Amino acid sequence: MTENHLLQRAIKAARAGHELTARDIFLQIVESEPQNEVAWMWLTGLLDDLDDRIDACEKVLEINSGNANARQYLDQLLAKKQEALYAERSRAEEQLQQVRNLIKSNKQDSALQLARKLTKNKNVNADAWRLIAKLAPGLDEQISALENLLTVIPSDVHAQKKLRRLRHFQKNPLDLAAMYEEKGDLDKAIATYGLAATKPASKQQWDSIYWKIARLENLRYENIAHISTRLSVARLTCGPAILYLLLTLTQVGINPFAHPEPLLWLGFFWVLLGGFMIAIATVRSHNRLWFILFRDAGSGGSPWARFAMAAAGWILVLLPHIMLLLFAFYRLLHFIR
Amino acid sequence: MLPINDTEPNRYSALPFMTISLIVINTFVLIWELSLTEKDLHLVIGLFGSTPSMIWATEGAGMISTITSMFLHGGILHLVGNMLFLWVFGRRVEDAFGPWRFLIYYLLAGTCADLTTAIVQPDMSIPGIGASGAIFGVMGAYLLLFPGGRIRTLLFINIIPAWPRIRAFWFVLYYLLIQIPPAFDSYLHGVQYDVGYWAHIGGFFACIFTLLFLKPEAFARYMSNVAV
Repeated sequence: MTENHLLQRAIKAARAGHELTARDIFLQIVESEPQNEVAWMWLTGLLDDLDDRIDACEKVLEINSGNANARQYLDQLLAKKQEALYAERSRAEEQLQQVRNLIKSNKQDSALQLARKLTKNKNVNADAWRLIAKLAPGLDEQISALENLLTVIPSDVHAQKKLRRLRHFQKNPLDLAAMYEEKGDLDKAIATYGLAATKPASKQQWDSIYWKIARLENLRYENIAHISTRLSVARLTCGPAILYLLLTLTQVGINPFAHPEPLLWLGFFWVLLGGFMIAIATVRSHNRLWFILFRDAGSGGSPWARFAMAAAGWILVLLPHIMLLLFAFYRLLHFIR
Repeated sequence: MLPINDTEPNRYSALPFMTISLIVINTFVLIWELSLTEKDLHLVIGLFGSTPSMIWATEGAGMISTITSMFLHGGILHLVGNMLFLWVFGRRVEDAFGPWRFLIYYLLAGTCADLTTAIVQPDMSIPGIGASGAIFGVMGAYLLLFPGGRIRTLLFINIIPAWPRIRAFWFVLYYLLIQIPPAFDSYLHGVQYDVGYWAHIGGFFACIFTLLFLKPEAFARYMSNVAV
């Protein structure tokens, strides 16, 4: 059967309303004769999928760029596609809003399920991945959500940092457990320590994990209140500064106005800053406080960052004390003479 | 009435490293003091003991004497008495604070003791020495943190010794209350005592800073009204 005969048959079938038969024949024709403009033109009206129709139109225009009907039809199809996309986006946005509302009303599980459903859509919104990264209970799912988010928006710096942080936790489950403990989420901390105890690096580590779990179970049993790290840092910051303040008072004869020593009083702020740095070093470097204060320095999770912070803090605390000591020593020498 | 030991165990660490270190340092300082001639000893106490009139006049070693006076003692009995109290009360307070924070608190209480004496008796020219001001601070912290703790105490009923376990609250309260009459006697009538009663009271009130030094877990326990 010649191509022309096939073409006639397909057109006849299409006009008679047998669209499926006609479409199959036209597809057969363009397969054997890809430059058949008439067949492609018919296909623009017979194909089901909007994208396939657009492809067919583009094919017609590729064969004959002067085909005004095809150009006009392509414009219509593209507008339709835009509309469909817009509708789909606003539907996704509505659903995302639903997820946010569920989070607000504390229905985390339902919110997570809806967010998971949203990500099955091929035009998935990056926010859906972001929400899953936030809501998912498991570290693996959070990491996978962030990876997907970064394929949609590779330049999202916040997601990059979070992903780095989660990967660190994936490799160091003890850090993750300590982080949960610091947040006051004892159940998650115990579960994570328990998981880490299944593959300990040494017998000593197993013992240490065992004691940590026992301690946390005690805390849970005794219903110990969780104290925020901010309060702890604020509290621990003050101790060295108060000591310095009182020592300075004894040095300046209790009355700071009668014997003003500006340098010594300036030292108070150094000690306060040093005390703050020592206090913050007691907080895990994955704590939000580190991110707020030091941005990237907090994302490494390295014990060295905490060590360096504590060492710098001690230096800041000790320097004004040494200065105070020198003032006192100088006065003592003067007194002896 | 002397404390023998605290009958409760530590919660966080077994070895009270800083308490032991302070006892050792105080002991070595006393050994050094005993090796000095009487003239040199007077000189050392004059320079490194804390004298209220010198503090006000900004003379002498200033803050150095505030620190050093906490480590000087007048004799073996003075040292043994103080160190016994430090051992009994310091062990668990250090456990709740951690060693370094305990050291800072100890020095802070000693400084509070010095300042209180200087404020209440500004004209006093007798140098104050001894760790008792700082130790009263430790006792104050103990009272706040472990009011229900039991202190094994040596008592003599007539001449018969007894060692009941007395609640820390009553024990510390007793020691605080017996400081008050002589303290006011010295303030109102200018009576000179060998004991720095105002230093004890001042040191004790350093316990208002106790919560600033607690370990995070101990603080959480304290706030939850559970044994620290």
